[in-house]
Amino acid sequence: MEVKGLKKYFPIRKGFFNKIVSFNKSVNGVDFNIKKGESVGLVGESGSGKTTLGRCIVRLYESTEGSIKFNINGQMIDLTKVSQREMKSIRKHFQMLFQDVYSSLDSRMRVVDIVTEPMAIHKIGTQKERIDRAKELMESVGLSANDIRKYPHQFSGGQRQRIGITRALSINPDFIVCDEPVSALDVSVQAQILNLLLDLRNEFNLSYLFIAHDLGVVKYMSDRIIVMYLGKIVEIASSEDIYENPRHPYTEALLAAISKYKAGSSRDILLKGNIPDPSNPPSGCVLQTRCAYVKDLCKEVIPDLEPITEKPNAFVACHFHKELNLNCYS
Amino acid sequence: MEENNVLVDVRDLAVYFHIEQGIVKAVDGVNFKIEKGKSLGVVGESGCGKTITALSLLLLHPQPEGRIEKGNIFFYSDSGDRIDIAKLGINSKQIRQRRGNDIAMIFQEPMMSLNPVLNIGQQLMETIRLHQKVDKKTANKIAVEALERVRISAPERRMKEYPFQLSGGMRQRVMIAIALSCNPKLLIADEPTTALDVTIEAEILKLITDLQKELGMSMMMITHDLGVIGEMTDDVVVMYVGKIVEKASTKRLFDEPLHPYTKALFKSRPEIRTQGRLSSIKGSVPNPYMQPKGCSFEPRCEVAMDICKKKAPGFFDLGEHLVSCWKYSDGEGL
Repeated sequence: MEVKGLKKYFPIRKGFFNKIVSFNKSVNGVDFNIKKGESVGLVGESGSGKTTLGRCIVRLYESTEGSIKFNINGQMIDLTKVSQREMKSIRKHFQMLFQDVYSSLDSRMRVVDIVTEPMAIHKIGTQKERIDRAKELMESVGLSANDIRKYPHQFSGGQRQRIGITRALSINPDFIVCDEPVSALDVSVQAQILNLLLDLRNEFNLSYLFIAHDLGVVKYMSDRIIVMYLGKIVEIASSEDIYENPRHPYTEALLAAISKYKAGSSRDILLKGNIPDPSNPPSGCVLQTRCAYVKDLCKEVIPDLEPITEKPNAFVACHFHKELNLNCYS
Repeated sequence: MEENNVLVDVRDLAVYFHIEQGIVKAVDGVNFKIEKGKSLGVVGESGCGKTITALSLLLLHPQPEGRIEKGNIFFYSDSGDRIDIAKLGINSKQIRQRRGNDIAMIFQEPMMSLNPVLNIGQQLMETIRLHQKVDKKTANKIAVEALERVRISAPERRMKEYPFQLSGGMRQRVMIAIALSCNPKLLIADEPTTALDVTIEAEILKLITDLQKELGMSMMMITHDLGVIGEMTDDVVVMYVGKIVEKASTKRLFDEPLHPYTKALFKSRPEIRTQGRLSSIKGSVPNPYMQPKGCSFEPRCEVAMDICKKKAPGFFDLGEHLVSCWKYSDGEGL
């Protein structure tokens, strides 16, 4: 999958005639690619545009600009160009997992209906085959097939996320966008779900775009990590490299904010204040209002996302990434 | 522990919920003390009774289905008198004087706990004027100071803003400002940073620690995140299904966790340096209506023995480190 120059602006309307006064630039020109079988992590604070990007990719939002090319049986198809009708057949190649396991399952449907609905929509198999597959999948995600006639409210948070996973897997997708699938769960259950997602990836050769705000969780799930801030990608690097050798001040700040799990420890606070208003991003570098290393150049010129010479597939958007000596995770 | 240093002494507290399906023992025989100026962490998964324990200190547990079955909550006032909160009526004058004034609470979801149709100033001044006999002008001054204390810039302007105009971190700061406006002796923080980003979380935790030292108050920190416990607390209790399973100083617990549940909690967090699969606790917190007869952790425990199924363990003291697990019994109580 290849994403190029993707932008998503939400109009801000005001006044009696709902005139569009400005745009909320949630995703403001991002480029990246995901290879088959690869798992890519996407991190950033709330308001950095991670979820919007994830939703644009599965076309739950119409993108404003740019292209999303998806390899379907050897053909690169631009998802932003295809019609709604064609989209329906393409949709079965990708699925999404949501953060809120309470609102993403219809409370009036039984598990069997929730899990078989995607197959019914894509006209896969007969009713009986669909139910058999649902039972089989439920067992493979660690649910009991006997629970198939229960309603979502009869399950715990972790079990609900498993139902969400079963639903996503039912149509055999190649690619799943996981939008913070574990942030609402307890630590012990989090570990269960993360392990399950890793196992399923090997079993079904899936690609993931794994969205999270916690760099600790992402490490487990990803081969590569994309760091996003205010609608822009600020750094891309392999998941080993990014913790040992961060190149962007924002990545450094996120690493410093990971808790150390020691008695009497404290965390360094490297970013001051809040994320700026995305409808009116700062001039120059997006981070300049909060960056500890800010210089005059950062306030005027927008840094490009440039490749790192010594590392393949690593990119950073900072004017001074060569000069800065940033702290790694300790 | 010197007796006169204790602020809150909870003894054998039990809160049961009487509902149609039966009795849920949300809190079942809990003992702990909070010393003056110290902070106590309460850690456990959701559904372990952490929040109910905290709410019962203010008699704010859900009523009428939730009832304090037994036990005492002794609160020591400055003069050295002690009152038993558990014996007070839920709307009595005495408990209303404690709430907000002596014991204040901040909650997980700052958007839910602020009133959306009142501005920040009105909400702050409401608390101040309820507990202190001051006129509007003085209350306004105290409110501005309270906002300054939580490091909100331009407090006069913020006083006129509404909750929806503030970011998540800002709202939590306002909550802290309201909680601290009457200089409470105990601050109960119920997962104050769970809904926030990691970067903001670090800032808010630092703010709470700084203010705790500055005002010399005690704190009860409820969280499921052991990282937060490590940073914020002096002592810690680990709760599982309404019971305390381990109790120690934070340093000791982090150096050497004893209970299998505590060990499992430590192991299941994602660690950056280690490779491979995460270890998880099998299963989930048991159904509250059908609790195991023996140790409540037995069905999920990896080192369970025969005795664990039959009899619930008492506390074994390993020198200022209490643990409720048969593994540490040394034959005692079997």
